[in-house]
Amino acid sequence: MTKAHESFSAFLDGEASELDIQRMLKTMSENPEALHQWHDLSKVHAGMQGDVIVDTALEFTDTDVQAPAEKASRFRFRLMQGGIAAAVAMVVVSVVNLNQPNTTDVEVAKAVVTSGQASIAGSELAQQQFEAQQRLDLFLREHAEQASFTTGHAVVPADLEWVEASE
Amino acid sequence: MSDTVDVDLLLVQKAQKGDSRAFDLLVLKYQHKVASVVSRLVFEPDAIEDIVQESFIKAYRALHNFRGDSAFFTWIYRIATNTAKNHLEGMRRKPSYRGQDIDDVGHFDMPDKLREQDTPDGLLARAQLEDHLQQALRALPEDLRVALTLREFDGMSYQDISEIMDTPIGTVRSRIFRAREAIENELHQVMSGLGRRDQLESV
Repeated sequence: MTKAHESFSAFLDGEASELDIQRMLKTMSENPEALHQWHDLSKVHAGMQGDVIVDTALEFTDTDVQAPAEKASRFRFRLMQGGIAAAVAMVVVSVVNLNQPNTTDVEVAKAVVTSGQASIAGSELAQQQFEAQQRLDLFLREHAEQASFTTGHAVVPADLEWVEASE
Repeated sequence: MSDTVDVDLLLVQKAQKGDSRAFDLLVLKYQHKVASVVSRLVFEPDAIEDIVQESFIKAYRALHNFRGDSAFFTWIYRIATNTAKNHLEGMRRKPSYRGQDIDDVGHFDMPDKLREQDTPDGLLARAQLEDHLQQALRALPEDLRVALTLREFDGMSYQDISEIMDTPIGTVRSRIFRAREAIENELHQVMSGLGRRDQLESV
């Protein structure tokens, strides 16, 4: 204990070593009363130097001051909160996209396929879409052929590979 | 012995990692010097203590910004003067005291005798403290008195004192501590009257 007091005395004079610091910190952990004894020693030093004597050290230890490390952890907590919020937002957007009525089946199929969980369902959907597109093309061709008999106005498919229906 | 700045920086680094004991040591070391700086700007003893405490709290909260480009005392000194200035501005008073501009009180010398307080109570307390210190010093064994006097009043390093007294540095450290301890034991009642906490406890 006396060694720790000597270390503190040297610390006041700017003559402390790293070993002194370790010794003082250890003593503070084992004997919290040491702080009061050192505060009294610091008063003697201050009195001889002509400094104004205060009790800040004792009041400071009683004050609930947020530690820098706690601040850092709060920052990490906020980062984590942001990450979770972003993940939730992404999931919501994905779900909304999947449920959009005007979303094409190809996109739906792509989304399902990329999820990696329902690749079979995705390929079925893609197949259905392909067949639907073919049916639509067929209907449009028939419509254009029928319309050509009565009027010059018809909806012509934008397909360059036009194939006339064989009669 | 190691350099002061290195030791302070070491404590700051430990405090930055969450070791509050390290910062307690820095408060113990510099609280009275910071109070002396603040007392040149602010008159009321209670306000001085509040400003010193607020300054250390601010420093602790901003410790992660301290990079060690300057000494810790320089950093806390700047925080304390700004806090004192804010206090004065909050009190709607001119931010100067005793005819000194706030920026001109940056350096403070080590007075040969104790600095006087302006209030009658302060003057009396200081005079009593000075008398008691002189008496306690005279009552010390010679080896302790010489070691402490060379350190406190002549500002010599432990190495210089060691050479002058022809004794190992470890002995110098021990003598200076024992001298302070003896004075503290002798003047405990007088010294305890100078802090706000002790004043409150004694009521």
